[in-house]
Amino acid sequence: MTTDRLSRVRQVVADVLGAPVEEVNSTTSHADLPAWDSLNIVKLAMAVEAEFRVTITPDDAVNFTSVQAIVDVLREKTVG
Amino acid sequence: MAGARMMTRMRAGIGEGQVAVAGGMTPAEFERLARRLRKQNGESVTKLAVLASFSAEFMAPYLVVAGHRSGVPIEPWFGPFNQFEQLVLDSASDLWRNRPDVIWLAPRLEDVEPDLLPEFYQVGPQTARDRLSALVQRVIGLVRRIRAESGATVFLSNFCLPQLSTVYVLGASEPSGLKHLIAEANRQLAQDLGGIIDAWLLDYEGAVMECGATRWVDAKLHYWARTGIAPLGLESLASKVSRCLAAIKRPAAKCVVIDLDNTLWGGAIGDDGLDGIKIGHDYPGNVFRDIQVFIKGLRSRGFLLAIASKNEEQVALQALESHPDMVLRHGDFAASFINWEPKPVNLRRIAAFLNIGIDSLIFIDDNPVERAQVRAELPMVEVPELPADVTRWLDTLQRVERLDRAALTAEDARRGDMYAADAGRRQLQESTASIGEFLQSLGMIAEVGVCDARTLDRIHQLIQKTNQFNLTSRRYTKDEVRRMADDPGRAVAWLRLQDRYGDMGLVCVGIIADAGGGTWEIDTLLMSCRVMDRQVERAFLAYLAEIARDRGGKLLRGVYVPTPKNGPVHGFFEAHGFARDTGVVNGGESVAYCRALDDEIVLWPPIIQRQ
Repeated sequence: MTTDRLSRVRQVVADVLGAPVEEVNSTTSHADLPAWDSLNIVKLAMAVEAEFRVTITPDDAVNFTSVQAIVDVLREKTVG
Repeated sequence: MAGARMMTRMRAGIGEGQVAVAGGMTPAEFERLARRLRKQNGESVTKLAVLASFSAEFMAPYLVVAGHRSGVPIEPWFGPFNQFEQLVLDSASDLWRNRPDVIWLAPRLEDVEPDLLPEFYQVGPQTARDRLSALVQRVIGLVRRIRAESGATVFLSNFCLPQLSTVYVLGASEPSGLKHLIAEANRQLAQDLGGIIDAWLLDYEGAVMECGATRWVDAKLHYWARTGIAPLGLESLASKVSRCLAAIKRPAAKCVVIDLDNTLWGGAIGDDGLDGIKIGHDYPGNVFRDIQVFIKGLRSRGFLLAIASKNEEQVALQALESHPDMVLRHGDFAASFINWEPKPVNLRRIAAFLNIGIDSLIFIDDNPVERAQVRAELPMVEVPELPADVTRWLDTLQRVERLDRAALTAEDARRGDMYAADAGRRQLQESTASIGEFLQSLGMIAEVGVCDARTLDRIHQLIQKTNQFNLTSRRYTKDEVRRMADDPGRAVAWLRLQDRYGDMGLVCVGIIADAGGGTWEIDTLLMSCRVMDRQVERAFLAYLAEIARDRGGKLLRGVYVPTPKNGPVHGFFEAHGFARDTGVVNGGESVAYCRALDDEIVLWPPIIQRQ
């Protein structure tokens, strides 16, 4: 389940930010992708909500700084 | 394989011609698809500038996808939110630098009048009404300014009671409650926009209702990102925009071809008989009755109706004529082909009989095999995919975008009757010996004139949709037509025709322009196919020549620009005494002809009385 979650987050980040999915890995962060700005963090939150059927609050999204960080937020929301 | 799944859904959406339902794509899928579609955008893309009171950028991928589904690719641009005046009034602003084709003004009450709702009961209805009418004046002023400064089409969102508000539960029972004041303001917007060319009210309120107000909002997005519209709402709003754009940009279909058994009524008339078919006020007859009411409504909106049915003709027609609960009668149909031939054969016959292109037909049939056969043999015909559940048909048909028309003209409302009169003319033609005798007996009366406010809509409509009898097929926006009509170096002329069977309305449009040196050029010359072969074109050409001569013209030049559809007029100028003008190079395949405007000018045919 963990790798599945990671690959789905990578795909969402690639889609929203317009990067090739092969170039997005768990360590990819806002420092690597210029498109990772505040507007796109909102879009990432909307996309993650729809993809994983969870609620992402603005306080959660503050932590959306890297692919791994998004995975960590999701792990807390979907224990197991 | 999310990508493949997504594209399958996309294709299904396109093929079925029903697009309001998204097919459950996620926001990330929208982003991915939009990115790909944007790369395909060619020359014909519509540059849409969005000026909103909220962060509308989130709508970008939804607009791109919706535009492609509606057949009108969109390249959106977003102004910074809540800067309407700054962008519109400054001619050096980014808005104007981007040279938009369409400008959408999207103010929301909660953004532009944020205090109105919380203060409503403090300030009272009169003050609230004043503030709303000041707002109406403000946005209408912006629309006027845009139209005065540019040729861009304008969409203006109407107002909607904010969803994130605590409205008193019985507020609707107050006659001067906010709900009703907003409705008043919306009516005022419609009224004021009605007087402005190429400006339309976009039904934002309707988009909210269709989506469901509670699903529209996302409080978190409102407080966090100054938008408040959830992805589902963005999708619904984008579809509204693309559908409106398609309605004004794409020619609507002309004729709806309908099957009879299990489509206009339940059951098969040949098997079940007059008493056995289902049509009436109880289930399932009420489902079919509503479908008939919908189709009858299309007729009064200017669509021709035709029947293509596999049946014994007499049996089927008798059902249409004598069943007491039938809404549609035989006389509502401009053509009926009831026989045992394959449907594509009958569709071709219907198009030929009505003198319209096969691509202007929409085919409605309950039978998936018939639908598939038509799609395979006549891919240019739009064939809505009907769900197995009949109760969902009406909703499906209401989403067929090629049944959208931007504006109705007087001719649209009467078209069905005019074609019925045509049937009478055909019978007369069969019973008279010579064509001259036939034309004489029609008692044709023509009225000619130049474009004014009363005729502008119809002239624009003919310029947009006439394909066959059209010498140059130049398409102009309404605004361009109006400017040409005001230009002393041009004339925009028309001809109306009536005969003993009825008034056919405005059927010819011509635009002539002073090309200098005493030469006047026929920029546009077109005629509705309904009046072909009746010397009407000769009468109209005589009128154009007359205008040119009255304005000092010595030579009349005509141009023929061939298209795949205007073959019938390739010899038009030669047939009217024009000579090939080899001195003029028009480029491409177009050919120029000229004729001196001396005493020998084209004569008005005596068979048509001039009013």
